[in-house]
Amino acid sequence: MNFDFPQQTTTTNRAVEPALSADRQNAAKRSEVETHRYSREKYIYLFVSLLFAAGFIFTSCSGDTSESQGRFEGEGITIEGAWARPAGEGRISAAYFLISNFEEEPDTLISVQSDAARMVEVHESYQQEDDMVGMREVPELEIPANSTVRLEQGGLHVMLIQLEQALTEGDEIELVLEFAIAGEQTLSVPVQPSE
Amino acid sequence: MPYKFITLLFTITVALFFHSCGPDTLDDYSSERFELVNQNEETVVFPDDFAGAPVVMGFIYTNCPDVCSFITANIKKVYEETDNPEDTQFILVTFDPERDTPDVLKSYADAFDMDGEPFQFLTGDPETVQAFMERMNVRVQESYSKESDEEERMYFLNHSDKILLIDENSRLIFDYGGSMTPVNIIIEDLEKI
Repeated sequence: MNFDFPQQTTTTNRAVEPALSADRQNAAKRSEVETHRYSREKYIYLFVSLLFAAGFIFTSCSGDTSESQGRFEGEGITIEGAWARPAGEGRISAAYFLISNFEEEPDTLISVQSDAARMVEVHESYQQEDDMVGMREVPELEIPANSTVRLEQGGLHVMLIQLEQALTEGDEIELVLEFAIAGEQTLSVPVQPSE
Repeated sequence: MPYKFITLLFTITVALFFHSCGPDTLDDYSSERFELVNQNEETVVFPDDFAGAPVVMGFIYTNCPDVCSFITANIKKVYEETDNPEDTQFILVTFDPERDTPDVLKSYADAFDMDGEPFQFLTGDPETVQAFMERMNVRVQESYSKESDEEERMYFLNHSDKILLIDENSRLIFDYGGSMTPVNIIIEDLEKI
């Protein structure tokens, strides 16, 4: 199968340049100057674009677990955004929240307790290589210095095993988190269907 | 002449593109027969009792409060955000029938405010459920177990994370990652069939 493409025309051909009239030569020189200026502008645009791109990559990638720089201010260990799933009595629920460590030293969450369930553990859901998902216990959870660790759906979470009573939307449960350095923190957790 | 040819080529390419984007069949369950039980202890037969309307189906066990709850919540979101949810059936099937009895499933459904039409939570005898999961390509294996304070054995399962979209003729149209697939993608596909 043949395609009829139009012949490409040559725009600059130095071999025929001496045969050009003075006007055409001047025009050709102007054209060269403009082309050169255009190339220089192109490089400037390219440079500015690269600067923007580098800035964007730097700001979006800096600190995987920490909040954006400039907004990460506070003291000690702070917990926010807590919620727990509704579940029936005797069943299992999960609680989620963010833990921020504003100190210069890492801290470790060593236990979570609650009167709402007979057993309380920190677990992590994870994707296996064979497209299956699993869950494992995380006995100690390190909170790196100046960082936020997220307990969120499909990842780290607090397991509330064998609930003492049903959790329904609007209820609140209390969790006591014990950190190796910061000590105990009591947290009020609202029950809601999903974040 | 070249323009006519290019126009023709473009038209054929667009036609092929749209043809290839239509839902293809990944599997056909119409000749199967699995007798299961719903959360109201009513016997249901898959796929016969579900033929005639599309099915959004997820696979869970109720002792998994994270990923399986995520799957359940996603199915509820599909229901809430679909234009005509009454035309679709939303099914969650447990792969842990020993613990997930109809009563347990009813309590689980109630916690998600999903105990009623058009939702059904299915269990069954262990052999049937195992055969059903094998047919639906849902893999399950025990990951670890522990003793509770009352010396009750607790176990957790590794499992496939999936939601299926089955058409009104009991054919599998789409197979999604259950907890990770954005709900709007499932809704778009559901509205195509």
